Amino acid sequence: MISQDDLELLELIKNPATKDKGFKMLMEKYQRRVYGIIRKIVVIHEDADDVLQNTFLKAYRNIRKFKEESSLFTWLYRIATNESLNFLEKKKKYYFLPLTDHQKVMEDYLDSSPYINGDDIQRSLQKIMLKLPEKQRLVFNLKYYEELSYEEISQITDTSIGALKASYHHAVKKIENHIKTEGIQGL
Amino acid sequence: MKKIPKHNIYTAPEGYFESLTDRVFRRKKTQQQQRLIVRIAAAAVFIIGMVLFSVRQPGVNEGNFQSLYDQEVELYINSGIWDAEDVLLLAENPDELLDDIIIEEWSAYGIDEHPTEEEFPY
Repeated sequence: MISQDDLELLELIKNPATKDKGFKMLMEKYQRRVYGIIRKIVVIHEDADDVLQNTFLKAYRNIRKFKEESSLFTWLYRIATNESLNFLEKKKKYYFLPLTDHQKVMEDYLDSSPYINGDDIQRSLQKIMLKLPEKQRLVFNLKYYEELSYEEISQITDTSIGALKASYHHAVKKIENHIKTEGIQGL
Repeated sequence: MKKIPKHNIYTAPEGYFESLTDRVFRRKKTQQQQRLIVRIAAAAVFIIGMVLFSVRQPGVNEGNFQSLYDQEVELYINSGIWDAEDVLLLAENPDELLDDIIIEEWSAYGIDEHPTEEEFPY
């Protein structure tokens, strides 16, 4: 269901004379949230910046194809999550020789980057989440951190609600097991 | 799961979002220019390929053309469609051809084209 604000934005974007102005307003409205979900998936800020820009470019080129059956936010999230997962997949193929593992790169980034603001426990939790398969990690982030409903996650990931519930349940179990195994104090 | 903190540890650099819109539109412009260059390059490659392909077609080469011509002339003569007079009329150098024929035929009879005084007693 699309909101009145989004309908007004879409009207501006559909008009060629005001398309750019309308799209800039759309970006200003959604950029932080879209960045947030991308960042949780790809972890590294520079990578998130690249994926975020590509997400908005894709949205700009395909805005005419947007069906007003879902919200603009869901549609943008869908592009963002697909771009993020594709980005990680490309990273895996780039590192085809087992000399550098991108997961290790992301773990090291959690320890050393100035764009990570968390204590040891929070960083340890993020490292545990990196051990999950990417799609499962995505579902966990959308449900637990973004607090989206299963209906919204289903629209974003094009996955059935049943499969999502099962995926989330397994993700929680794995994380809890890892916390126990690694003896993380405070959790 | 209630014990797991929901604090978002991922932060962005100062001023990152303020400049994001401009950077996206600059990237859009760059990508449009790159797509245009690729299209022009693809069209140029296609045109050059077509030109090279047509030039290399068999039978268009000059050497091949001459031998094909000779074969066709022989065919016309052997089939009786052309006689000697037709060939001479079509030739670029009919006088030279006639001279060659005479030399060939006289040599068969042992006749020297340029007799010396001794050989020509008259």
